[in-house]
Amino acid sequence: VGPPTFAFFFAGWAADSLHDSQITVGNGGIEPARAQLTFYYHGGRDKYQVEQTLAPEEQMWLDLGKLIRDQVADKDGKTIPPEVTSGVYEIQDLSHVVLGPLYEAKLIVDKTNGHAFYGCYFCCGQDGVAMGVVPVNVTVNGVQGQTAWSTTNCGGGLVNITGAMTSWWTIDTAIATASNANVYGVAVGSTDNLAEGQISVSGRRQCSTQLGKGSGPSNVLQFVVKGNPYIFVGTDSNIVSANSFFASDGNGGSPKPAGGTVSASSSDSKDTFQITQGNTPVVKVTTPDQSADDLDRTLTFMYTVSGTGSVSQGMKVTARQFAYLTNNSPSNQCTLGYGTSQTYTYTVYTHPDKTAVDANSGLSGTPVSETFDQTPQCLTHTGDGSLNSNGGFSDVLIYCGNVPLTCDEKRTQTLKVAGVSVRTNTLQTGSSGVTYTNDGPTQ
Amino acid sequence: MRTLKGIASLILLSLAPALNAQQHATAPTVTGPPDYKLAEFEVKDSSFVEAVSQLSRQAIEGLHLGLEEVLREKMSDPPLQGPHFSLSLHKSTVREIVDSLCSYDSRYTWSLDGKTINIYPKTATADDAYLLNRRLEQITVTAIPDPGQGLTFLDRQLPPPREQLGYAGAGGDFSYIAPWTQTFHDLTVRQFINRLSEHMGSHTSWVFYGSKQERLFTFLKGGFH
Repeated sequence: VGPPTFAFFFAGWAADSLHDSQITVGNGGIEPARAQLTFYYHGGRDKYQVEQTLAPEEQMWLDLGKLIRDQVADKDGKTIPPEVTSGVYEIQDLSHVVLGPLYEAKLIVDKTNGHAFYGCYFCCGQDGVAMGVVPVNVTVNGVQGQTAWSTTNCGGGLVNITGAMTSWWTIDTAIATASNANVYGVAVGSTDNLAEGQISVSGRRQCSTQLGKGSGPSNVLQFVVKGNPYIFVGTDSNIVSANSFFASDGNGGSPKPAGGTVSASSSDSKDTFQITQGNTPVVKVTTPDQSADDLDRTLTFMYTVSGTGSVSQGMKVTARQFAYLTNNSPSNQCTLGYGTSQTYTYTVYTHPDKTAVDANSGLSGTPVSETFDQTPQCLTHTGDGSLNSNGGFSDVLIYCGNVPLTCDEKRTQTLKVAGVSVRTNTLQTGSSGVTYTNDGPTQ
Repeated sequence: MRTLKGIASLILLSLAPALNAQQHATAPTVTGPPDYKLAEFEVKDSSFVEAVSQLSRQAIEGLHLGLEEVLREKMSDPPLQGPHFSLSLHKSTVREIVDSLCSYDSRYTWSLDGKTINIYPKTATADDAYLLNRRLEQITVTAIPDPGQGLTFLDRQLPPPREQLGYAGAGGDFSYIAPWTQTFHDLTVRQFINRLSEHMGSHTSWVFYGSKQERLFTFLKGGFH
C-alpha cells in the first residue's frame, strides 16, 4: 500500500506471459475524488485511460493482463493492443489540484517463479509558481482574473494550480487589491500582484508539500466607454454620427494615464470604425449588417498606453435596421369647406428589436424621402426631409378647397429612411380630399 | 420745358407695362439669395417647372421661391407640354439662372418681391383679374398654424368676386413654429402669399398649379418636386 494523498504518480507496469500487474487506487479522504489512471505504451505515444469517481474508503481494481486479453475499451473506446506487454502508468486526482486523498497499490506477479513484488512510484512535484496573466491590466473599479501555473517535474507541462493558491494580495492596495484569483483596480498606477499556496514537492515513494509563491506586475488604467446599447445599419453620415461611443475616465476627463490610443473591434468583421483620438476620443461605428437577435453583437474598445499596457471594455449592442413605421390619426385641419388637410406624425421602428427610434437615438437629420409610382397631378410633393430631434418625421396630405373638389387620382407613395423603404401607402385623391391606405410593412 | 416734361411723362407712362413685365431688370440690386452664386447648375432634358424645382431644392439659406404654373383647362387634362431643354451653368447667380430658365421657356417671367423670387406666366403680368394680381387693401390672419390656413382668411376678406381657392400637397410638415397673427395693408394676393410662405422659415417655396377651374396652392419648407 502506497503512501496517501499523492497527486501524481509515475510507475512501470508489465503484463505478458510471465507477469501480470494488478493496480488499485483507493480514496482515503472524506469526500469523493475523481481518479484518472493513464497507462502509457509504445514508448509513451499511446495511452489508455480509465476514470472513476471514488467515494470515501472506496477502491478501484484494475488487472492489466485481463484488460489486454479481453480487449476492454477505455473511456474513449480505445483498447491496448495484445502485443503490448509493458509501459508506465500515471494516476491523477482530478478533484484536487495539488494534493489529494488518493492512494495507490500495485502488485506485479511473476507467473513462472511465483514471486510478487510491489511497484515503484514517483511523485511528480511542481516547479515553482508563475502568474498566468502578466501583466494584469485592469480599470479603476474593474476586475481582472488571475491564474497561477506550475510545471510538473514529470512531463514538464504547465499545470493550472490556481485552486491551490490560498492567498492573493498586492504590494500597494491604494492602486489595486487582490483576492480569490482576481485583481481589482483602485486607482491609476502600477503595483505587483502575488499569490501563495501549498504545492507538491517531487520525490521517490514520497510526496510532500511546501509553500509556493508567484508574483507579477499589474497596471491600473482609467478608461470608460459610454454609448447607446445599439447601433444603426447604414452609411449615411447622420447614422454614423449616431453610432458614436465616447471614451473618458468615467468622470468627464480624459482616459488615464494620458497619451494612450483608443482602438475598437467588433464581433462582426464587416463593422468598420472611425476613431478620433485626443482628450475625449470618439469611436464611430459603421455597420452593414443587422443583428439577428437583441444584443448579439459585441463591440470591444481598447485603451493602450505605450510602455504600460492596455485595458479593454466590451459592450453588447444591437445592430438596428430601419424597418417600418407607425403613425397617428390626425384630425382634419381643412377650413375651406371641402376636402382634408392632415399632418401625419410617423414613428420609425427597427429590426430585430421592434423598438421605436427616439430622441436618444441621435438620428436627427437622417434623410427621409418620399417617392411616387407616378408623378401626382393633384398633389405637389416636397423635396427630401429628415428625421426630427425625436427620431420621427411628419408628412402632410392635403387636398382642401372652398368649392367642390374635382381632381381624382390614385398614387402609391413610398417613404424611405436613409434609403431604406419603411412604408408604402396608397393615396386616393378625390372629392372628399385625400385618404391613405397603409400597405405596410406593419412590423 | 413744360412740353418736354409732358413728352417725357408720356414716354414713361407708355413704358410702364413694359417695365412691369421686366421688373427683374430694374429691381434694385440686393445682396442675398438672388445674388447667391452656385458653383454648378445643370439640368438635362427638363421642363421649365422641373428646372425651377431643381433650383428650389438647392441648399441656399434665405431662398424663397414662388412659382405660378401655366394652368391647364381642366384637372383631367394631361400636363401642358412646354419646351424641354438642357442647361449647364457654372458660377452663376440665382438671378442669372432664373433669367436663363425664362429664356428657354418664353411663357414665363419673374420678379422680386421682398425676399421672394416670383416666377409666373407672362400672360398674367398685366391681367388685373388674375388671382395673384388682385389687390387687398387690408387682410388680417389670426392664429394661423400654417400658410394653408391663411387661404381661409383670404377667402373671407378678398373683395368680390369670390375666387375659387384651394391648396394641396404631400410631404413634409409646413406648419409655423407658433400660430401667427398679422395684418397686411395694400398688397397683391401674390405678395400676401409670399408673406405667408416666407414665415415658414429661412428656405421656402410655394407653387400655384392645377387647372383654370381648380387652382391649388402648395406651401413647402425647402424645395419641391
